[in-house]
Amino acid sequence: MQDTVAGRRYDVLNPRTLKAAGLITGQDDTGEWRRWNDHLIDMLALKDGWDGEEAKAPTRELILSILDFLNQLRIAKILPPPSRMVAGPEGEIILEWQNHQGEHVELEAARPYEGEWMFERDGKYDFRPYFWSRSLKVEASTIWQAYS
Amino acid sequence: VKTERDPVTPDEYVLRRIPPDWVDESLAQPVQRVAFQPNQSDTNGLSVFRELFVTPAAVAAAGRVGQGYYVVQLLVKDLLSLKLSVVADPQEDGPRGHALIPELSYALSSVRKADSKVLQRELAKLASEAIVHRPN
Repeated sequence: MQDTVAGRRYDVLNPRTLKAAGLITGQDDTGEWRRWNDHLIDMLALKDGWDGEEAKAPTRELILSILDFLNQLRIAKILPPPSRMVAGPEGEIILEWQNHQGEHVELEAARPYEGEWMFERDGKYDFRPYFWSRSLKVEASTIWQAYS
Repeated sequence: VKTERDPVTPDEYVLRRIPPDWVDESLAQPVQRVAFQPNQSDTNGLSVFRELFVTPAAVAAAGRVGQGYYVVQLLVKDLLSLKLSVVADPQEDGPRGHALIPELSYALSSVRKADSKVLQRELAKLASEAIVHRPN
């Protein structure tokens, strides 16, 4: 999958181009993956209104699909661990990668196993729908517990 | 002397309350764009508060009891340059100086989602430069 942002081509499935963009550091990131795993598990406890306003809690199915997605990223080394992962006001989950050059990549998932990439560079934006498949017949949480 | 009902002028600052989950000060751009994403209660626009009438601490304190909040500051002129507007909307309950950004209503943002996400992201970048209150 290739995307062009401000004349620069990103290959979401190619670690080399992402490393060149400063989005992969090459450091040992095992702890980071584990941190986001724990953060997602914590999201299972969120209730509607968790932000003190009107935010909806992400569904269990969505959280498990993100666990599955992260597991696939980690194994395939497609992307580094996210810089940030948050639940949004509509119950969506946003994974964000950013570097100090102001480049920014974001995946927003509002439904299990589907989302939208947002690429940004030099103030220009590009959007791409994205779908990922269930990796194994067991629940993602089981996979991750085995890994942890 | 301005009153809460007077039009918002470009030289004013507005404040926005943000839950701590959407700010990470270890990142180059700490504020996540969802801090500016309307929810279903934002029927007429996204809520902000005019700094002429209220302090950042008071805006933070008006959030849910027991939860700390960040507050960010935005120059109205910068919002206008993004083709956003700020409309005075004083409320009897809640902090003084309530105002709305009508272009970021829930309905408009739902229909023009990509445009709204770009605006949210641009606001987040501005806000990342002006965190004026942190949770205790």
